[in-house]
Amino acid sequence: MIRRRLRRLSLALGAFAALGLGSAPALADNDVGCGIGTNLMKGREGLLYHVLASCTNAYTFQSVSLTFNMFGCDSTGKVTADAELRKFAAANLDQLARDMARGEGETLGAFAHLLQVPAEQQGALGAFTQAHFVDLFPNDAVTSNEMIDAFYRLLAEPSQG
Amino acid sequence: MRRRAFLILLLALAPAAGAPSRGEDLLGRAEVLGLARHPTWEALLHAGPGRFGLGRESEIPGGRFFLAEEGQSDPAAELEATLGALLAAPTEGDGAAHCRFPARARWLARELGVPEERLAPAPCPALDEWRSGLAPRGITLIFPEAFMNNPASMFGHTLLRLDVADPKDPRNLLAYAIDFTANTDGDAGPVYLAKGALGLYPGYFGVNPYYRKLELYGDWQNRDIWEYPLDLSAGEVELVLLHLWELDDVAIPYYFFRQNCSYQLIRLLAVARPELDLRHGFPLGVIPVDTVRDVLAEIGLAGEVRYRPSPAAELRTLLGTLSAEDRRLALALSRGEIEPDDARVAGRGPEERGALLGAAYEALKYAFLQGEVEEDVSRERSYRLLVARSRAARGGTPEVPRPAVRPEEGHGTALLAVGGGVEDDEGYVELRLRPSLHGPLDPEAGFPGDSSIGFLDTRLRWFPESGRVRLEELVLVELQSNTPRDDFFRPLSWGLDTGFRTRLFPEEDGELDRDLVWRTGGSLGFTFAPGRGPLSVYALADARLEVGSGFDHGWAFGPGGELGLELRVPGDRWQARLFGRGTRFVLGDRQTHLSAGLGQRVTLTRRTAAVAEVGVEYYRGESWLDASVSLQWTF
Repeated sequence: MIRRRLRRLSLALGAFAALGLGSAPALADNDVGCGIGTNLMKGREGLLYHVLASCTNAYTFQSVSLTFNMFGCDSTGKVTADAELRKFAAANLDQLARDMARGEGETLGAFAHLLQVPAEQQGALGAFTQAHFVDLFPNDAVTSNEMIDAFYRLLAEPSQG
Repeated sequence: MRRRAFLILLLALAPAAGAPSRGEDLLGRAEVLGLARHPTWEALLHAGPGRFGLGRESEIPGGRFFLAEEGQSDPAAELEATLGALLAAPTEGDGAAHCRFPARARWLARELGVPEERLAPAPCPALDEWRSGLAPRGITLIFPEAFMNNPASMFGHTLLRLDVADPKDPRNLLAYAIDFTANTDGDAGPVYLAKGALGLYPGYFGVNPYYRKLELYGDWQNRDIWEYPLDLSAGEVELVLLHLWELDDVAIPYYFFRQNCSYQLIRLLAVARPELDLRHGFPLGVIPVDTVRDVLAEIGLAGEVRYRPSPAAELRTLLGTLSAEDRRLALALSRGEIEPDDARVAGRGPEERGALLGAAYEALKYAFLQGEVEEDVSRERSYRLLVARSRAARGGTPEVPRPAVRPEEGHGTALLAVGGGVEDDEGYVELRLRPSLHGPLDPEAGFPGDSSIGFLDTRLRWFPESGRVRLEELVLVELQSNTPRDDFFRPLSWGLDTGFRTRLFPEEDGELDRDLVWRTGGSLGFTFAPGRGPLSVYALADARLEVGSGFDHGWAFGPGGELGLELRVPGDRWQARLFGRGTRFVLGDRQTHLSAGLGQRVTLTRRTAAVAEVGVEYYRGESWLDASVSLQWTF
């Protein structure tokens, strides 16, 4: 039963990969995550900041423009689905790893949406990532791009049995 | 001027002769309709009463945001210039007036009753691409609350999210959030403070992925986050979005206390709902939670409010579901004292193992973010825990119970109290005003417990017998955090305060002399709340500096301590707080000062409470009593 659901999921995802998005080169973006357990950097500042600075621009990633920090864009400025996926995974690697290991969670839900997995298949995606956690994260230094490449490779493999 | 009025009269009397086709006709109609004074036009220009309440003036300094030379101070001239630009020979592309000011164009077309193509004749490629990328289905107001053990964060923060799906859908992680931030160029300390208070920093609206914001407020800062889906029509959402485009790269002076981020979000939403105004809280400042109240009062909710617990709240829940034995195991796993293949863990069923390893992983992440674990240690151990977790049961993550009272349902941010009492042997009437925010004796509902912050807390006393009026206290700022410790969360309690207070100085003849002193102090200690029940006890060590003419040498400094006990029952309707403190001033005027007191509060309604306080003080060989009762009201 599970296996059949997984196969259906693989087909759905395979279609996504077949669009050529799965093999898109990694972005020129350096924002690729830096391994589980470290991705969430410390965002702690001095006391004074919290008293009066609830809205000052203390963080480098915040833009001062409406469009500057938007969308994963390729060189032509066009948004690609793969770029969005990679950008999201890079920024959420810790939460994603956690959700993939436990087979559920909001971050995995958003990841599934970026993969265009239909809602009713998301449970199967959770089971898939949990079963293949070690394949997706073969060691503790895996970057988000390596994880996604491994994910695409797993999908391309025929389901065993 | 008189000719213009005459013209308006003439136009008003003239029968509406079909759709006006010439620019002057539209301008005339705009004048007849009084559009330049229309609240939506003023919202589009960010205009309000000018200096000293004279005229109308925009908060945005002149520049590219205005088409008329005097646009900042003359909404009518700006309207004329806008209409003129919109009706000028059509230009193509992003530079056209209707592409720079799409919200103005849309609103003017609607009000003037002309087809939108009349004022917006050609497509705007950049704007259209931006809009289709955002494609909001609705707007949600986001309120990150204070975070644990940091009263300085208690004012919270607000942003808007452009929803891409139903408010509860995980796809909204991918939505974009709008906020207003000041660019401080890395200034810090007094420079930063002064420039922020004086409005010397430029602020800009920004759009960032919502998950980035969650990372900042949720994961890094451990704030609970509340999401309020707003009841705005598709047309209203569109107008807000189009106006946001008009604000791209427009610098707006940023002020800490009033024209801050929360205020600017209100101004942005006012384009859709010009009646939206700041009605809650003390008028001289804008506090985020008050703007939540304002927005909900005017716009209302489109659906259920979502509570997004902080990682600390999740961890507390996870640990709470475990037995004492399992809790110890989970913490031992998170500290690396035992490995996931330990028989006590590996021997469990898949569900129990999942719960243990899940809690251990979250505990480790928390410790890492607290700076208690090195990066490489965290990485390696997290990985081993997750691999083991992936071999346990799927799912089973417990839901964090939602606080019974939402932040905007708590007491008002400003407090006014009237009371009477006796000091030594003289009666007084006391008036107290605290513009913000939350004191140790206030109802906790809607506020993160265990923390308090007060600004400009002012007490005036009038002694009818002698007719004297005295400033009893002016607390400039006061912070106290008494977060209880347990076997995992081990925060230090701490406090900081500075301000003026009238001190009683016993004279040789036994009379009490009264002098205003400036005092400042800091404290550090522990709080325990057995089983997180209604009772908590705390112990603090502190150091104090007091300066005033009543002291020998004019000042006194010394270490001290405070012990206290706090009880809140039932449902926080009644609270009692008992404390004893002492300071041994060892420098300057060397004396010992001792005091003890009992404060009690009974909540009457959401906004009102009765407070009774009694205290004794001992100084320079004399002791005296102060007792009072008061009624307080928050707004």
